[in-house]
Amino acid sequence: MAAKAASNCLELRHISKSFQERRVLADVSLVVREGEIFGLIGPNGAGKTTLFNIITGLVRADEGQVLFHGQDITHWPPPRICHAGIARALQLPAPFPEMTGLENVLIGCWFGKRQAAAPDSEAQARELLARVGLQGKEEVPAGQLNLIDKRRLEVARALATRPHLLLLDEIAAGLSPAAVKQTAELVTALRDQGLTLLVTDHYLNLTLQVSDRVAALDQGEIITVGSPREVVRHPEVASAYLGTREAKTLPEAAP
Amino acid sequence: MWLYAQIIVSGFYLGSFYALIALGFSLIFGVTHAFNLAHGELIILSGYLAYVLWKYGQVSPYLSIPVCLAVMPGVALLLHLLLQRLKAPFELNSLVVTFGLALFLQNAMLFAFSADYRLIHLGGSRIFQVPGTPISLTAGQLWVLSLSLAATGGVHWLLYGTFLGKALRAAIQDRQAALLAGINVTAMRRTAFLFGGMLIGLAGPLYALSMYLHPAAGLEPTLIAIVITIFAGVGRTRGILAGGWLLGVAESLAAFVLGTGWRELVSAVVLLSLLILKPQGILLKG
Amino acid sequence: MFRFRLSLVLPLAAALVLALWPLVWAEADLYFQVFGMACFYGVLAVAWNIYALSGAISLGHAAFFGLGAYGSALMSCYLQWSPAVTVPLGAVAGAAYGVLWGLLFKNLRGVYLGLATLASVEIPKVIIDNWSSFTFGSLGVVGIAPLPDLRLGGLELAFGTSLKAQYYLLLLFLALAGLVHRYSLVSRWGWALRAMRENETAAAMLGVEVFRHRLQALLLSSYLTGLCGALYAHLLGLIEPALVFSLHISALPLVLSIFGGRFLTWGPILGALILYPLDQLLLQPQFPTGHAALYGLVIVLTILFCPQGVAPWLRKLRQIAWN
Repeated sequence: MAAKAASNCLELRHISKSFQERRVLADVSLVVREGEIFGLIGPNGAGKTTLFNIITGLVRADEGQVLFHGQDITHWPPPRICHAGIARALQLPAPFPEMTGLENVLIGCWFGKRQAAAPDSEAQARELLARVGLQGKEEVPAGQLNLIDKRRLEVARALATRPHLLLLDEIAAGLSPAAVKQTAELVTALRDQGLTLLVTDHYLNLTLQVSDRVAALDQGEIITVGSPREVVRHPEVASAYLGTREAKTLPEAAP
Repeated sequence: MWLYAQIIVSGFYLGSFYALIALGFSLIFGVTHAFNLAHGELIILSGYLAYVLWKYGQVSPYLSIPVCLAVMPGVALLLHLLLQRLKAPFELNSLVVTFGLALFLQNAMLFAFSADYRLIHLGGSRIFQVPGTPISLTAGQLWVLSLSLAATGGVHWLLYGTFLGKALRAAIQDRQAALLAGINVTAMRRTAFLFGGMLIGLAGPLYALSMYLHPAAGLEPTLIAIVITIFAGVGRTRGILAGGWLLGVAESLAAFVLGTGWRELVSAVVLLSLLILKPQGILLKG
Repeated sequence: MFRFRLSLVLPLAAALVLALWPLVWAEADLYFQVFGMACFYGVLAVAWNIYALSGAISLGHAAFFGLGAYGSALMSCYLQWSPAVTVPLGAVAGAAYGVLWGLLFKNLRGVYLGLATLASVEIPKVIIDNWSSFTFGSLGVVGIAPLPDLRLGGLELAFGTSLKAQYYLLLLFLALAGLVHRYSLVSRWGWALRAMRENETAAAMLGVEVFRHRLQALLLSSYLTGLCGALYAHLLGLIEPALVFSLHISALPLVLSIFGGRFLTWGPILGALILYPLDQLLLQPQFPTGHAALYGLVIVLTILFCPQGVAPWLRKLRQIAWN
């Protein structure tokens, strides 16, 4: 992979998707480069989650292609996409409720990659749980964790599949400022380890702070792509996203 | 030529009865989301009730209809009490519980009525001919046909012509919205079981008049009810009638072309095709 | 450490009791038969549960049972092969239908899958009912060859005639099925089934190949059920469509599994060893017809009052006794 360091990790070409009559994504094209944190911003209903669903194979795009490391993965089923190296933490956590936190992560360790899992997968799982701040809760059934811990578990489980590209959906929604800071540190640390990240969030500050590049999505269309600074100053972004609310109150506006 | 006309007419007669069978299921399922796999067994039970009244009490099957109409809603309300206690996932649990109930009823009826095939015979049944054609129906068939159509019309009027019906339809279409609109959804559920029970009660004696009662005969009406409900969508009386006719004609044709033994296959094959080809969740759209 | 051992010791002790009591009580044909059939239905329950572990509640396992029974009976009837050959081969008919389910019902879940499985029993049943020239129709197949005798050194096992020999055969069958069931719970593959049962979307995104694993579970489940059907044909000597494709056969493994506890290795087996003898020894003499109402009642009561079945209670009792 080292030779590809500057190349494209994920490429979306002309993705369109409609549900019944409603157009959710219209001709979306994006390039996420290897080793960067790519932020996707946009108001509720802009199509961010649908885009993630298309990338991970949960939803079929009407048109367009998804390329991962140059390979067309558009119509692959979700497990195959996972094996190729894309993992995702869902916006609404979907743990295996009867399994413990540790077992949840072990599922990722065992099935994430085709080759047999390392014999020390349990130690690995514990390390991942500690890393997202779940130490001491390894044996708690996941269904009994609170929402924030379930979110953390999502991230740990996704990391357990040893992905190249990690999709984080609404990572900071509902977190305390301290937890947001931790999340920012985690995301940056993951990037520094060589992971590529695609993140979305309502909490603009976090996305803008950690992202290397940002794309703004509104009503299923990409408005602009660039550095956080450029994007936030873009007039259309201001009207589509910031115009609906006052910029000052935005950090508290997260649901 | 007349043969095919006769098949079509028989199909319409059969289909009208099937619509009656489906109406009760559809109403209960639509409002409460309870999958009642014991639906057919309840119809057979009602049929046995009419049979016993006729055989041992010399009660005319037409007079036993009011009795069944009074008894079966009670049974349906008992079922409602039972299903109310179910935990999530409600739909799947209701399916499994009523599957158990169906097995229980089959064996209870086997115990009470033995495995013999029973039928209510109308002495010296007359045959009515459509004027100018050789197409005919027996008196019993004519009764079944007219009562089924009357019941379907009645349900249609109830759902589309009355305030109660409006509330029922609202509960079918969107439970949350119905709640917000101040509709007492709990009462609507009870109402659905009540009317569903009456439709089951009516279907029983008609079943005993037109088909053989047997303790294990309930699966077929259950499948028929499910097929038609999936085909038509819940609470749509016209769709249910159309679905019943289509199924009835298809069964009559299959019985004529392939032989009577193959008739039972039709509803199973249609149900499977609908499930496989129609996207899921179609049932829940009012 | 000690508790782990206990969980191993108890089933072993139970297995020993099941294996040894006929030596102590030699003339007990009724009990050989009842407990032999209890073992048989234990296998059926385990087979059903393997598919259920992947999150699919089937209401139509009678389809595999009936196809296995007819597959073996007709093969034995027309080709005059030994049941030792036709049983494993005939069961393939059940497994083939299982694969068909797996492909056709790929996108059905929950209630819709339940309905589809229920309806799909009718198809082989009606075909066999009507194809009289080949299947003997609704009269059924009679005079099916009994299981062959086996001579092991000086030991003669008359599986065809001796109820005791049949009991041991079925007990062995149950032990093997129990091992398969254990594998389906504790192996890596079992964890895949569990993950997709608890949350299919999450499992798929974590790399669990949902479709493949569910198909494997169904294949195993339908083949085992087919084997049961095939054995049944030769044990009973006659089969008819209304018997082997009945609602009863579809319901029985479901009741036994849910009653015993679906997520414990010995759950479905426990259910069979409790309920079937209860039905046959206590109810059947009282109510020669209709005693099977018990199973329907047990489904209703279990789902309502102890959805986890009785095995967790026993586990709790054991813990109380131990502490």
